[in-house]
Amino acid sequence: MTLARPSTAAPRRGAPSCHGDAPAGGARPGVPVVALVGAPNAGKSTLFNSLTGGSRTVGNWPGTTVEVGRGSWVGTDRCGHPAEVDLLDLPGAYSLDPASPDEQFTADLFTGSGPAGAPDLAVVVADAAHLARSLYLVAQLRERSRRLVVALTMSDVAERRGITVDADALAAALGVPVVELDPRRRSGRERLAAVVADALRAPAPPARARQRDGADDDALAVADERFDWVDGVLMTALAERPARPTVTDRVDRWVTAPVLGPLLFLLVMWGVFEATTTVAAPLQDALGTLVSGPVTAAGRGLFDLLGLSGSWAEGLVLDGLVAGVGMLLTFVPLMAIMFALLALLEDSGYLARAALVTDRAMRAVGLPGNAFLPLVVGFGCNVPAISATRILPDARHRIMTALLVPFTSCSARLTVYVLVAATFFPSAAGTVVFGMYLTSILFVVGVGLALRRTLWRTVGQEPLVLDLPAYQRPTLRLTASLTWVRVRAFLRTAGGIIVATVSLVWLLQAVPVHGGSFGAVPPEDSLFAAASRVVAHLFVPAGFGDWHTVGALVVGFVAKEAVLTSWAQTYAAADPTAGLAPDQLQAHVHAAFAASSGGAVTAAVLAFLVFLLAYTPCVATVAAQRREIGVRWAAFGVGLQLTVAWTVAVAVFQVGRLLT
Amino acid sequence: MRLAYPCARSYRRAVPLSPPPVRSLAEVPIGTSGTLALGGLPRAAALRLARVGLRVGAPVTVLARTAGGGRLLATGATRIGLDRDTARRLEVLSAGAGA
Repeated sequence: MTLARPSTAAPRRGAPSCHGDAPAGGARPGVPVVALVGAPNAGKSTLFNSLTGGSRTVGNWPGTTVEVGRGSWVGTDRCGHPAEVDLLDLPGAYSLDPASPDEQFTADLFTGSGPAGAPDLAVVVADAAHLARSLYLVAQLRERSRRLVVALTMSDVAERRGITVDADALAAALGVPVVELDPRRRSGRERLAAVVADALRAPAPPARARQRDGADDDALAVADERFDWVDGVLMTALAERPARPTVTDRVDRWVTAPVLGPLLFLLVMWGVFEATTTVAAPLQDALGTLVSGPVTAAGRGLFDLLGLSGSWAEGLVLDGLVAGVGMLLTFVPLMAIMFALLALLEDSGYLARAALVTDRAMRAVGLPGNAFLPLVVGFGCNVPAISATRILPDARHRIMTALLVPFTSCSARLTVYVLVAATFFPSAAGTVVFGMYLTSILFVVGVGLALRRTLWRTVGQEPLVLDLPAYQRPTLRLTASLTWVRVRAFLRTAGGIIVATVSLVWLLQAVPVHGGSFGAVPPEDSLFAAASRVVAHLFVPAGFGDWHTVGALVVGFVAKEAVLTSWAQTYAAADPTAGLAPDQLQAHVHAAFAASSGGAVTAAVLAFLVFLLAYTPCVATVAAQRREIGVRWAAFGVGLQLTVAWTVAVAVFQVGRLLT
Repeated sequence: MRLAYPCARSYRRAVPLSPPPVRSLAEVPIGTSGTLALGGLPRAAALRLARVGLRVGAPVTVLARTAGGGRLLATGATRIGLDRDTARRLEVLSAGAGA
């Protein structure tokens, strides 16, 4: 038995994503390895989560999974005995002839050209509504002597479309067991476990002999033979009524229409941000009051009891961690609402249409329409978005897309937008936030055009062939699961890298540069302020050359949430006698912009927002770029982001100042 | 190169006595049904289309014109979005309107 072990089968672990998948634990050594394979959007990750209790990101669009997932699946065999397997969730692949890097791993695993051995058994997840394209992979796998099981999903969608699949006839024609199941509703898992346990005990079936010889050197002839075999199988197992327009078709006529489609897309996204900011505002205020009031007071009381009142430890905990991280945690309701709304859009199948709608804009910058999918992922988090560039077949398209992803406005930046918009534009906060997302799209198009006219003048165009999923009613479980995965990752960021950053900023604020003792220095006399003042000179032409503001931006290089925490702890340390309520923080920020802008506050705020949007998102994104496109392109990307951000911010302020 | 679809589909139409007109997918009216011809597509692109079910002889219906000038196609239960250039290069032997 050849086992694909965790150390060799999985690709290099990527940079930590702020909203990515939770890592799945591998099974014990010695247990059989089973791989879930199949065409994109067949339901592999949903099945994987259902079987392992994992929390892989799922979505109703092709290309959701680009990393290999691994987890332990403990089912029961026919005798009721526990049967454990090490389960792999592979990126979607139509065949073993890879067209892009995300398909390459699957091909290497089964053709033996990769570093790992083949799994003991492959479960081909086949979408009953699109069976022909799922079975092409089965045809290829059957040409080798391998243990296979076919998991038939989406029978409900097939039924609605007039397609009936006879699972028994299909199993007989394929020569492998077929199990019908519904991973979204978690039905059929026990049968799959029993069938997999049986198949693992049985010898591998003999390889399928090709029906036509002498065509091995002609890829199209070989493919033709496989399609013929698939068609023969379908003739015995599938009945379908003549195609007729479905609800999805009727909806798509409007959703993808030339003018209405893009307008509808913008309207939907505006609705998401407007609903997010409106619904979350009272919850956020209540949490902010809780943190700055009772929580801070209780902390102060505890330090009094311990006799540590006024100590550096109290400063670190109350002015640093409670003020900084506490302020960030008030954004949890906002993030949860936005993640839930985006999960609904993903699960419904709507976001897959966005790639079609934006194809023209993508082509204008020299990218194929499916480059929009990684860019859409970037609006959640840039790190998985850079990994998602693997769905693009052309290396130059991958590099260009990976350079553009940081200009998509991730959800971490949303926290700062909301605070700034609520401070300076309280009656139109949702519209301002939406405007930032539109600006983000303009950055992607503008920088893309600039790259195309300079570095990528000869890049070719890839055809867009987008396999659109049917619309489906989102399930509460999947929406809640996807929302929780992302909120948990947000909390993890707040509890990990942000706590470390807050501690470092506190340390820098505790070091005096003009006399005084450690931990007892006003923030403006600290090493943090001195260093920030040096950098702040660069931002005087942009109207926000204030050390508080620039210090927060420098800290934000680590992660964008840190901009907020840095502000909160700097202003909290300035008045250590009381907690910092959200409205007090807003007043401090307002005063800083008023002082640094020379009266053109709105222009300075817009310049700040533009800089925040365009400069380097976080160190994890740079690490992901280094992994995907190499250190030189990653360094080029950082330089590009800083140059673009500073230039546009200065232009916005200078033009805005003339107009006000 | 054949990549032909099997002829035993229940919804296959009778072979007409005179050959049906061959036109670019981008030129036929919305709602047109017919069978697919690959036109001037390179082999790699043809194989890529075949993987999602668009093969010579596959029954297709043009469902909609999309933003950017592309087309939304139905082949069986599958819905495929194509960009404008690919739609222009694919040909359809049209059998009429409506699916």
